[in-house]
Amino acid sequence: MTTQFWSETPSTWAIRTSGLSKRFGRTVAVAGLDLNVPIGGVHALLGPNGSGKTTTLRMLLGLVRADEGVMELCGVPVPERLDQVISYVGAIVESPKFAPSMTLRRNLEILAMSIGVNRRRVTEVLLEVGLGGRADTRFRQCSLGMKQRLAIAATLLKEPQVLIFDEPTNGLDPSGIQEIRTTIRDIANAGRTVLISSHLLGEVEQVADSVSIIGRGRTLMEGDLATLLSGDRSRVVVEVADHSLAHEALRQAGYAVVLSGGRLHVTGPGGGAIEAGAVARVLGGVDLWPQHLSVERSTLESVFLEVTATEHLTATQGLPRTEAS
Amino acid sequence: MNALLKAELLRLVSRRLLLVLLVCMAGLAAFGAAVDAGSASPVTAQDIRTAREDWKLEKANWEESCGGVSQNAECQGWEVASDPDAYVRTPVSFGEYTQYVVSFGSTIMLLAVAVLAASFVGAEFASGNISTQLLFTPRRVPLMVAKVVAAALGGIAVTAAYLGSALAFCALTFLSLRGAHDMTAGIDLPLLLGRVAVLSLLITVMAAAVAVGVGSTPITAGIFAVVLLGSVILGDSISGFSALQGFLPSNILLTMLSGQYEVYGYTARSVDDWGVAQVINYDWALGYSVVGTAILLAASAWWFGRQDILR
Repeated sequence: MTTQFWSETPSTWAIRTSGLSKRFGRTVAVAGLDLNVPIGGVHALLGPNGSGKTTTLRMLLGLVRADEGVMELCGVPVPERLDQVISYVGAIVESPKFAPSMTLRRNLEILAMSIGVNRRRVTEVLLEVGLGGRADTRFRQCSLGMKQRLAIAATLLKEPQVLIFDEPTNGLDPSGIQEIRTTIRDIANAGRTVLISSHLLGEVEQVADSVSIIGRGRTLMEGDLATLLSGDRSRVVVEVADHSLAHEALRQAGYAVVLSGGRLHVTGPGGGAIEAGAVARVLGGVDLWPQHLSVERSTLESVFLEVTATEHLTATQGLPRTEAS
Repeated sequence: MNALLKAELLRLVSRRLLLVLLVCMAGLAAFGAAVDAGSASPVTAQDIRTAREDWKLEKANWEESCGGVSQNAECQGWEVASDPDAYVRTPVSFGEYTQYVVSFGSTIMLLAVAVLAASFVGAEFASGNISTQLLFTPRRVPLMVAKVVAAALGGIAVTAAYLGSALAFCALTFLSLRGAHDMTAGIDLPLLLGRVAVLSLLITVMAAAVAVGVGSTPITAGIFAVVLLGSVILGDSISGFSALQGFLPSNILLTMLSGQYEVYGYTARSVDDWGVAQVINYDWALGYSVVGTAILLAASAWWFGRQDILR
């Protein structure tokens, strides 16, 4: 069951999958994945290694055949009618892949020619991503950052409405990451939809508007990032002289309490909103005065770890990832 | 489809291998023309002296072994001409000279076009660039067709470079040796050129089709090597007449190149009768190759259309 965190559920989606499944031999890569990406903004697809992110993107783009399920790109069923919609979709899957012995310009010229785009557009997109001065460098001589920028330039050849970037900052140095982040944000600000998959949760938190967290080939949680990280998921950290007394008082008041690192981590009743003052009043009611009291806001990382840890726990209780022989 | 083909042609001409092969083919033709130039050169006094010495030596051997008669069993068929001038070589015509030169390097040229086609397609899979292409043109069969056609055109260019250079170098060499008045060629030369061109085209298409299907240059090379080697071994292991000979790729290849191929072995008439056991005709070889190539293309298109692109 997918936990939804949409502040307002969109009526149409840029990308949508339902019951998507794929297995490679006996390994299940994607197991009934439901994915919803709203139109406009940056949507992040998050998940641990092997959770099925890249396979999902490959299926959406027609590189890998799905075993089961339904996929839509810009409202068009794919892969059946992918050729009708591909001109609105730009994508980079895993690392940028071009002919290594050819120059950046020639690589783009070939792609442009294949879709009937004027060669002048090649110069424009190279300038757009800051590669105007390096257009005649061979692809194999480029740094990873340049390769990523070339891949983004390639996606812009089509002037797409939806962009799909798989691990766009993988292997980049901090300035490269910053550049790509800015580029992605600029693309989204221009009204386009960007779907990125990434491991760098801090980066995603800075750039994404909405997220889907997937694990073991299915969606665990999705929604607006702001809603996901809202106060409802914050917790209060308390340090008191008598932990048992505090624990009991807070529990009776309806809070969930976990003792960790000598401190009590208090979350709201039913995982809902929490106020530090209310926690202090409960403790004051039993004559306990906190030596430390702070509010910890949820981060994407804490949510991700919480969600994927739960999934891991479920997995270890016996859900099969790989079929028994 | 037009746009795709233009893009693939741009990709083809951007590859250094094409230029290297074009230059190598011209070099190969020049080398062949130089090596065979002696056969077309006019008879010299030295040639006549050498021929007379050869005649004397032959005659002496014959007299010593056969006692000057060819009647006994050992010497049957061994006769020495009475005129020593019969031993003087006859300079070949322009047509024959050019045929020698074309035949000399045609196997290498056929290998070159196969390498060009297989690597043109295989390199896209090796670098993962095929994924990028499919993100622009997701319909796989038209993409495959464009690649195969581009590879075929590349093969034609390499073939034209070889055959054109062979003709040009042979003409220049012949003109410098014998002059224009002797420069004649029969129908055999254009027939050979045509056969080489057709075979080259078929090999290019087959190599490109296999490379699309298996997605790898080394595997394509391996398949070709195994099929040809296996075919040669199988052909050699059949001692008598067998319909299988006409289906072996190595025999078909030789037939396509030479116009007709004679399989030697024990004939159907008798197990003691060693000779031409079977003749494979060009028409059969051509039909077999065209049908085989069509089947290969269809199988590759089907497989490529279903393949998961994971690189």
